[in-house]
Amino acid sequence: MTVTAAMFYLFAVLTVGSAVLVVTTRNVVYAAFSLMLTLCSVACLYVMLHADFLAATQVIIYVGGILVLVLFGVMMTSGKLDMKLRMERGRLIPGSLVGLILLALLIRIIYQSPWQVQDTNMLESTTKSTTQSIGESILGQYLLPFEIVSVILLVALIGAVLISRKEVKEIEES
Amino acid sequence: MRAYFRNIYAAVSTILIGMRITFKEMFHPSVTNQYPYQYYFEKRKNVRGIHKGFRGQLYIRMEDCIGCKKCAMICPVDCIYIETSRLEKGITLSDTRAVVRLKDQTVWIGELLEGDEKIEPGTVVKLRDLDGNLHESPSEHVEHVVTSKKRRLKLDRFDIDMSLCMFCGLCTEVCSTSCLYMTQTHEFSTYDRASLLFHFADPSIYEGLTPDETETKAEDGADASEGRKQKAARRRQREETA
Amino acid sequence: MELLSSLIFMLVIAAALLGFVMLLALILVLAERKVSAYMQDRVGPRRVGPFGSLQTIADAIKLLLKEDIISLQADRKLFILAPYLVFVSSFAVFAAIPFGRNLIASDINIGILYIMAISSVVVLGIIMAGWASNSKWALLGAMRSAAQMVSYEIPLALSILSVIMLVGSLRMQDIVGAQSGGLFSAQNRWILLDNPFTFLAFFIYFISALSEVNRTPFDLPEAESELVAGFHTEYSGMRFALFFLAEYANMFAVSAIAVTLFLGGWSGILPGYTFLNGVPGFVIKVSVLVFVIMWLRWTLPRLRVDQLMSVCWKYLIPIAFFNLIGVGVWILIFD
Repeated sequence: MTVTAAMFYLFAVLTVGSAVLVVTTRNVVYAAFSLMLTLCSVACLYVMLHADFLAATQVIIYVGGILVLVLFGVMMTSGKLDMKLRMERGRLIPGSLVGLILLALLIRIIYQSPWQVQDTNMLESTTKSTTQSIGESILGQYLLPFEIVSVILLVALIGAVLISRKEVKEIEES
Repeated sequence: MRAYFRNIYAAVSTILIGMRITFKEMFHPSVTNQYPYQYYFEKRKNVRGIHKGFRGQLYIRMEDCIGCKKCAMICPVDCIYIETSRLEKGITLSDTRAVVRLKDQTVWIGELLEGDEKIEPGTVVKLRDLDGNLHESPSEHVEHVVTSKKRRLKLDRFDIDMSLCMFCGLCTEVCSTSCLYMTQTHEFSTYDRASLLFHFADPSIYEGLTPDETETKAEDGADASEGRKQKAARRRQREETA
Repeated sequence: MELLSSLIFMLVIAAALLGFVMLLALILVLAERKVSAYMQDRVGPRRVGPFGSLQTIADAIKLLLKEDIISLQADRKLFILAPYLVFVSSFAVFAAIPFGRNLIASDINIGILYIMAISSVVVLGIIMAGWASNSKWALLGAMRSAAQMVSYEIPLALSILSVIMLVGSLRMQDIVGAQSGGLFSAQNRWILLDNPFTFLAFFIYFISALSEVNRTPFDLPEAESELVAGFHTEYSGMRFALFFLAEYANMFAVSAIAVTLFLGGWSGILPGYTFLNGVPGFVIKVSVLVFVIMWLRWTLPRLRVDQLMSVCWKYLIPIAFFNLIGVGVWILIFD
C-alpha cells in the first residue's frame, strides 16, 4: 500500500465517521465540532486531488468562517450544556426510506456524469499551483457569475448590518 | 472626514511617543531592592525605618510576669497558652518592677520613686533605673505607669504560637505589669511551623528555692503564709468576740 | 516499507520542529519578563540560573506538578481537547516558515494560504475552550476572542494579498527569492521598501497579526483585569501551559511570517552571502520584531471591545482596500 492510498483511506474514514457522528450525536455542540472534523478531512481529500487552492479556501471559509457562525448560533441558542436532540419513535421508517432514495439518486448521478480525469504528471502538478488557473477562469470565463455572487454577498452583508444595528438618533451638531 | 484622518494621525503619533518613553526607560537603572541580601532604609527618601510603635514579634520579661492570664483571655485567636501553679509553702519570689511609658514610646523599667498608676496632672513621675540612673518626667508626658506587683504564682507554661498571632497588640495593652511587649522583629520565617511556637517559661528557675522563714520577708509586707496566719488569727478573734 | 519510511521521516522533522518550538517558548517567556522588567525600572528573574535563564524551566515544572482541576459542570471531552487544538494549529504554522535556503519543513506551493488557513482553526479551539469551561467569563472571553480573530483576518489577508500581487506566487521560498536583491537593489528589494503602499501594508499586517495572536493592545479576550483570565480561566497546570506555549509560538510565527513577507526572509541586506544572511539573519530580524511586539505590550493600554471592532472595520479594512488598489495601480504603472 502506498502512502497515497493509506492517506486516502485515513481521510475517507475520518470524513465519513465524523459525518455519521454529526448526524447521530445527541449533543448539538458535539455535532458542530464533528462537522469541523468532517470539513477538515474534506480539505485533506482536496489536497490529495491536487486541488490545493480549494483545500486552503475550504479551511478558511468553511472551518474558519461558516463553522464559527454555526457555533455562535448553537452556543447562543442551545442554552444548556447538555441539551439533547431527541428523535421521535415513528419517524425511523419514513426517514430511512427517504435516505435510501437519496442515496440511490446520488449513486446514479455519480456514475452517469462525465468526470474529466486528467492524466497528469505527478511532478508537474505538485509544483504548479492551481491558483493561477482558478484566478484566470474566475476573471475570464466565469466573470458574470463571480460578479453576481459578489453583489449577493454584499446585499446579505448590508441586510445583516441593517437588521441588527441599533436605532441611531440624529444628534444635533452643537 | 477630516476627523477620520486626524484620528489616525493622533493614534499613530501618540503610540510612537509612548514607545519612545518605554524604550528610554529600559536604560534607566532599576530601583529594585534585592530584599534579603540588600536591606537598607536610609538611602531612599521615601522609605523610612521601622517606626517606634511597630507591632512585631512578642516578647515577655518573665521576671515581671505575675501569671494573671489577662493576655491569654483577651487574645482574639487564643494563641497564648499559660499554665500556672501555686508556689510551695514558704517560698517567695521577688516583686515585679515598675514600668513607666512616656507618650513618645520611651520605656523606663525599675523602681518607682514618685508617682502612681493614676497619673495626676501637675505632678512629676520619678523612677530609678535598673542601672541606677534617675529618670523623671512631668506627668503630661507620661502615658502609662505600672507599679510593682507581688508574684504569687509559678509559671509552668507560657507559650505563644506566633503562627496564629495576628499582631493586634491587645495582649500588650492589658498586661498588668506591662511585661509583654512587641519588639521590632518582623522577619522570623522558619521552614518548620512547629518552631513558631515560642516557649518563654522556664520551670527550672523554680527549683532549688528553699523556704526561708525569716530572711525572705519582702520589703513591703509579709509573705503569703504570714498573711494567712494573720487572717486565721483575726477570724478567731471575731468568733471569740461574737 | 515506503509508507513506514516516509512516516518516520515526517515524524523526525515534526519532532525537530516541536523541540525548536519548546526551546523558543522557553527563551521568549524569559525575554518577555526581562524586557518588561527593564522597561518598568526593575530587574526580572535573576535568581534561577545565570540572568534567570532557567526560570521558564522552573515555571514549567511547577505547572506540571499542579493539580489537574476539571470542574464537574464542564464538558470533559471538549475541555481536554481544546488546548491541544489551539496548540496544534499554532504549531502547524511552523511547517511552512522558511528558516534558510533549504530549511523549510514543507515548501507547499500555496504556502502563505496554508498559513492563513491554519490560523483560522485557532479560533475554533478558543471557542471550544470557552464553551467547555461552562463559566460565564470563559464563554464571554471566547466569544470576544472569536469575533476579534475572525474580523482581523480580513485586513490580514488584504495586506498579504498586496505582497502576493507583487511576487506573483504563493510559495514562501518564491516570496523570499523575490527579495533576494537586498535593501538597495532596484528590482528585488525587500518588499517593505518597494512601494509606499507595501510599506503601509506592513503596518496593517503587523497590527492585524497582533490581534490574531491576542496580544496587547488587543488582548481583551485574555485580559487579566477584566475577565479574570478570559477563555482560559478554568484551566490549570499543564493545560494552561499549553495555551501559554501556543501564545508565544504564535507570536514567533507571526513575526517570522512578517519577516518573510516584508523584510526579506533569510536573504540579507546585500545580495549574496553577506551579513544578516541565512539563518542567523532571519533569527535576528524575527527577534527584532518580537521585541517590538513585547515593547508594544508594555506601552499601550488595552482597547475596549467596541474600540477594537471599530479599529478593524472602520479604519483597517478601508485602508487595506485602498492599499490593495494602490499596489495594483503601482504595479501597472511601474512594472
